[in-house]
Amino acid sequence: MRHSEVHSDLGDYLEGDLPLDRRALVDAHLDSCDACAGRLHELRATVDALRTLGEVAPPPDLARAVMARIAAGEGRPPWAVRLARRVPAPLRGRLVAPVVALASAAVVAVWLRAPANPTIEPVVPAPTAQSLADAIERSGRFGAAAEDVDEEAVVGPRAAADELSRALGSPSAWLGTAAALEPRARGELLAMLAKAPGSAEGLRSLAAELRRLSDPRAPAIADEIDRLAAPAP
Amino acid sequence: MGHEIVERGPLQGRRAAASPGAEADPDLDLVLRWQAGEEEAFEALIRRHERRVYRLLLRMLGTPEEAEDAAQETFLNLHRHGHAFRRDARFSTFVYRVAANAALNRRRSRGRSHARERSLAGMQQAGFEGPESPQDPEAAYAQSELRGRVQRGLLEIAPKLRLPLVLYDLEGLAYPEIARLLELPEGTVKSRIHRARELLREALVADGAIGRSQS
Repeated sequence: MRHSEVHSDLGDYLEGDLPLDRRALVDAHLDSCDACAGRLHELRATVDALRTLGEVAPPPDLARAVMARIAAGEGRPPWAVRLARRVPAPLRGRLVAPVVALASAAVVAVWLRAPANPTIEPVVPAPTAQSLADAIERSGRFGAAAEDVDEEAVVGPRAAADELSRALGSPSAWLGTAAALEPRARGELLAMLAKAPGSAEGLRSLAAELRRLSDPRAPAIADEIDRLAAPAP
Repeated sequence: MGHEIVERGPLQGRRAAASPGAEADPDLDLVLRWQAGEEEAFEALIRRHERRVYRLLLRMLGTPEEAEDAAQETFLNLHRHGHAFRRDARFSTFVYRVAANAALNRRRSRGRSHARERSLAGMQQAGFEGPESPQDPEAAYAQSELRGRVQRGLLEIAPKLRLPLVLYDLEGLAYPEIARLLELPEGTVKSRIHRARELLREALVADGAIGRSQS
């Protein structure tokens, strides 16, 4: 065997990963080559030295520090997840499905706004709610870039505008979702809607639409919306 | 084995990598409680995983200060994205992956020379506690010196090679586990580990930390 071949085998040799016949060849070479035997010795010493790093203890207040930062508002999940968590479990699907649909709508809207070219049919299908949810999960789960994104800043205004549009499109369905939320979560959702640029008029329209419904839950929620949409004194 | 990520001593039982889902995930109960909104369960998860996360980050970043910062970032990211955790892997794998991302992002986001300066300064007080702490002051000093040189040598290696080396030789993970965690082919993991060891060997020999005369 040549020295270079032996060198490239030393890692597997050290791990006992070489096939027996190959190992025998390396052994034979090492028996007669001080340079390669020395290199193997150095590699062993390197691994031994690495192991001297040993154990370390984490800072004693690490967990407390992280929980304090969470309590201060850092590391918050995306708004949709926070809202979903506040919904009673049996109703959760009713909220999560519209939220995913809403996110889908946002992506479709961006796609539709791309420069139109009437001669070329789009070859990429519009994202389905499921494919979008999968993509969000993938990026959220392991994507380094996704971890650096302030999701609320990115999703907020557009999502709010789309949510408002959806609410106006079907006030009764939207009322069902809003009414199913705990008051605090509903407040958060409505506050998000109020943040959308130019949303005041839309919110007032929504409140008016809700008042036309016979649903007994509608007036209180319409009042909440009107308060948000009222011009600042 | 309780975890998919099996902590073993280096070079022990490498081939016995646990298959995912072979046993129930010991973190599952806490994860479900946390995903249902119970923050105390998340704190319990931090306490369960903080040691390995901190250890990995200390090896990757070199100083206790940076390791602590990155560990906090890791757990905040976990909190932010934990809703995305599904049971197709153990939670411990998920934690390791987020920690690895934190380490790699941190390296990318700041100057290498700055990192090195801090690491050299911080090394002296890095609290590298060996598996055995010699009582003899001279031996203790020699071991501390060696640890400093090893950690310095580690930091000279490119992060993409260093990470698999640390996971393998210090965290005791097996090739398949590292391959899953880093989403790399097993052969690539293996070759990166061997390459990283070679680079560390060269650095330690050049530094006089190890030599052929030793046996």
